[in-house]
Amino acid sequence: MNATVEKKPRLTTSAMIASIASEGQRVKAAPFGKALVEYAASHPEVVGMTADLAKYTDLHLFGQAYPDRFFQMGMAEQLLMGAAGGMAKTGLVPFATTYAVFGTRRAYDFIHQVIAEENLNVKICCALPGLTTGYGPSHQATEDLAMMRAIPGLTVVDPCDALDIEQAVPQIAAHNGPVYMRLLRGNVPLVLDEYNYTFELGKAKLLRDGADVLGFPVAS
Amino acid sequence: MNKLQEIAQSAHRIRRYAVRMGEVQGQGYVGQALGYADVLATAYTHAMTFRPNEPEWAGRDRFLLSHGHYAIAHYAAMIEAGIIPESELETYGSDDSRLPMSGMATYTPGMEMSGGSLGQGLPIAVGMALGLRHQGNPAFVYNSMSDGELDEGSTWEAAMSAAHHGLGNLICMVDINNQQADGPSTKVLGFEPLADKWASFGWHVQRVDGNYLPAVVRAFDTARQLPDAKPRVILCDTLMGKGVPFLEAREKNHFIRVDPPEWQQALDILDATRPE
Repeated sequence: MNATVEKKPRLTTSAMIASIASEGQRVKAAPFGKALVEYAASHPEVVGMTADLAKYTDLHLFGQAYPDRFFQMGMAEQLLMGAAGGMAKTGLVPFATTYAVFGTRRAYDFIHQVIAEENLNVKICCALPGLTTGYGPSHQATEDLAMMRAIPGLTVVDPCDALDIEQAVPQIAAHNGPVYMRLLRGNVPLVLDEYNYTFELGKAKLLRDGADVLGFPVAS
Repeated sequence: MNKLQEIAQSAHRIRRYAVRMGEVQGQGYVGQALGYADVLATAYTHAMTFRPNEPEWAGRDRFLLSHGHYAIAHYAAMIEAGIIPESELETYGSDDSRLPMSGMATYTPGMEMSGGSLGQGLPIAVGMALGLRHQGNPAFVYNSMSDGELDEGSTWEAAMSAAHHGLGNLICMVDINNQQADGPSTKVLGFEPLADKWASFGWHVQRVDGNYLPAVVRAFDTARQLPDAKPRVILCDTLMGKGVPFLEAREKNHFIRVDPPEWQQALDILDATRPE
């Protein structure tokens, strides 16, 4: 008998669970959560709300740092957006997090009517943008930008890397009005530090000069 | 004059203002306004704390009109409360008016939310109640909603959350007139046993005849004074068209038809039966 066990080749996957970083890529851990904790230290009006996805949007860091300013709304996205609007009406600045598919598709009318129609100061931050998910089509937010851009008065931010995210957080917080920001969570690739780049809300930046091709990349 | 007489007279004036607004446009949700006037009069004349000349005052109780199409009733109550001048009634539903047919927070002083897409009031109320409590503000949040909004899942998401967070500063009124766009609520999507439902969601529940003032006033008093850290709901059974018998008896649906000469007839009947 042949006792040799044939070793099966490991199947490859493009699925991403915790990070979209490639092997060996430089990363920063939880840039959103850390930047929000830092900003909120001197801004007591900032509160955190989530629809059962604090750990998966890095908002748990905010919850640990400021437990009395963290509000768990359960797996209820319509409630999350409606309550975030109500919270903003009392003068607070809520950061509301969930996944992009759920936040935008399940709660579109609440973002449109409750938050944007009244120009309320809510910051909607949604993880797993585009195809950055290991869960397949149910979690792929391929139309969130189109949906959010169609809402009058809503500022849309699509950060590219960890540096973009950590610089965007204080700026969207300071911006008076509703914001939808795409979010990368976990170990987030660091790319833009190689350039002379700083994030400025509402401004495009030149990354590389040239004469042959002009490209307008949008985030990832 | 005792308190109940004052509230009854207030409800009478709210009915009159609503009918006059309906006459301006020749239409409107006047049936709902007549049915809900006693609840609104109790809220604005008796229960709520607010400053008529300072509708944004931070200490005010918040009144959320989730059922935006009841704006005609809410404007009438806010005219009665002195928040909106009576003269503006003539502009109801007109271009550039501050009184659009469906309630808009961005148009109207005292209007705390933009209703119209139903089932949004209670989620907003939960956020407001959490935010006020977080800031140590003792104000109450009143969410006013229709029985049709019981169909919306977001209502029950919010109901669960309000109990989970122990929101003793949240009072919800449900106008149960059993009429929706496609017919009686009980035939569109049955919601009974309603008191049991709210109780099982963790709410303090009262169900009253919403057109019997002593019961409505008692329910508001109980809701405000309850020491429990739980949200409170007042289920108000009301009669559309209340106070104008020919409208009470008219074939009921979401929208009661009123013919041109009937606006004045309705006012005459209300005046003839004006409470002492």
